[in-house]
Amino acid sequence: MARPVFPALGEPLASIERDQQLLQATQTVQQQTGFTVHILTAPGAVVREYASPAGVVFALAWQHRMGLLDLEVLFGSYYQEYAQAMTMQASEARQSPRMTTEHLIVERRGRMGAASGRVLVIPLLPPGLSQDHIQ
Amino acid sequence: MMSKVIIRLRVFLGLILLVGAGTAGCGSSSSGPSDGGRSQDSNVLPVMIGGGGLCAGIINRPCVNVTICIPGSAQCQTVTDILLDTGSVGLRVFKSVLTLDFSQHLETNGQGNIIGECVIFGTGAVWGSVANADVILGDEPRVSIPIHLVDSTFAGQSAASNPCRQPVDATPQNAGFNGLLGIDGFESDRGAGIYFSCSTSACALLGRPANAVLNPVAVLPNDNNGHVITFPAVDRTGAPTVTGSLLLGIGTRSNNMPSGVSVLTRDAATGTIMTVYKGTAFPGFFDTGSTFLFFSDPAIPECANISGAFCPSSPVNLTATNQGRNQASSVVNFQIANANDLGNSGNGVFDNLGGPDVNMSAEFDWGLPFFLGRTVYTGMAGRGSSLGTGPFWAY
Repeated sequence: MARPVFPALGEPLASIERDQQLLQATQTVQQQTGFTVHILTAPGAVVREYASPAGVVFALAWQHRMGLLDLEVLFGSYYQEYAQAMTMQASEARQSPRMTTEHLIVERRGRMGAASGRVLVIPLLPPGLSQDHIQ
Repeated sequence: MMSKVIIRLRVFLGLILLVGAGTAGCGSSSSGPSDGGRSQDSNVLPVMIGGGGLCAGIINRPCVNVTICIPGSAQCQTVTDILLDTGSVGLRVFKSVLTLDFSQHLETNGQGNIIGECVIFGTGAVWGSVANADVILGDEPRVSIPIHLVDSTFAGQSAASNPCRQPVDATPQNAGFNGLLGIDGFESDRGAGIYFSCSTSACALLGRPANAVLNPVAVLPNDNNGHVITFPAVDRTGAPTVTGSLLLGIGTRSNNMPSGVSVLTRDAATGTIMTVYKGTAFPGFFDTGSTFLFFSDPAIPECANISGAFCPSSPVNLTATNQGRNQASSVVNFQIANANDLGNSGNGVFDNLGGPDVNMSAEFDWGLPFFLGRTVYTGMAGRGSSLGTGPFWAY
């Protein structure tokens, strides 16, 4: 049984083996030109982790139907920046499907029981890639 | 629920409807007669888009008033700015807007711990306790059900750090509503709500409790087999405000009798139909809580300065085909116009606003624009009506 690797945004792949009791995922890896996608499939959620050739997670995309999805863990050291933006902004900006913070572009969509989103760390984006690669 | 993108340019009038503190006519706690002593239209709730108050600050946000009472008492409060949401299930109200004290009516797990709930929507999440309340929709008899008291600080938590494990709405201003009336065509949230057993400072994950939050429509004595939402049409340039109606029940009274509609049955597990757009089939759904039509189409340019909205150089007329599990199908013609131009008009209601889907979900979200100029029937799962047994949508 493959032990799930659960890297957080902005952190190196190798250093993180976060044991996700909340996300009991299986993992597959796709090698793309210029980056690697780690696909974590769990009951109720699929999370895609995008890692640079240097092994740093620069983006995440998720699809979430049931149970908890731990964005606090997934966003790693960027979580506070995101949480502050979410709680401080007025409703118009706060509820936009796309939010840009100092380091992040966060997009979220969906409804109760079927939500999806993606987040990109702008300064960590490998050269030649754009948010169109995060799907 | 999904949300809006364009910042309203509309100037607020000085008169802002505050949360009503008035007492509604709820002196009797009996379930009351059905139609006998009530008006023929006791199943009707006016739905305002752009009328005033919190909801008016957001384009295409339909809101109703709901009266909430301490169980079995005459202590009632009518709460304004409740988002009418066909994309969720359950009544959820910010605790901070309530003058009523529900502290003696919080649901517990039977061992003294209070039940907390986390609900994750498209663009955010809400956290709070679960309370037993009497709820009055329109002039229907009051029903006693568990509701969600939204409070980011419940059980010693915070908006940034809480059992949802993601940021939650801290205030009505933050959320753009005082609450949500979730009336999708199911009795319960089908597992989408996540429950916890909480002390004053900590919470532990709980399975689905017996007293989980319920759809208030499903527990009405008579008009419980679904609902009808109807709005007038608006011009392609939009309208400042629109008033529509939520009618409870389907074919239960003279005002909710369907005729000449296509019935599209929904997948019982996903709750979706199929929407075929430009040759691709997507799971489709109808969601008054989504302010735009959201779908994937790389051929329509996004706005440069508005996040997540379409900005074609001139309006594009489009077609999609909705198909139910029953193989019934219906062609829908719609338009997507330039969100910048529409936003500059100062209007608050539009039938031609769209935006791109976030790619992984790949769904076709028929948001509020779809409902303008239509009468849409939502059949409750497992309940019969003249349109058949739910879950279905018909229009």
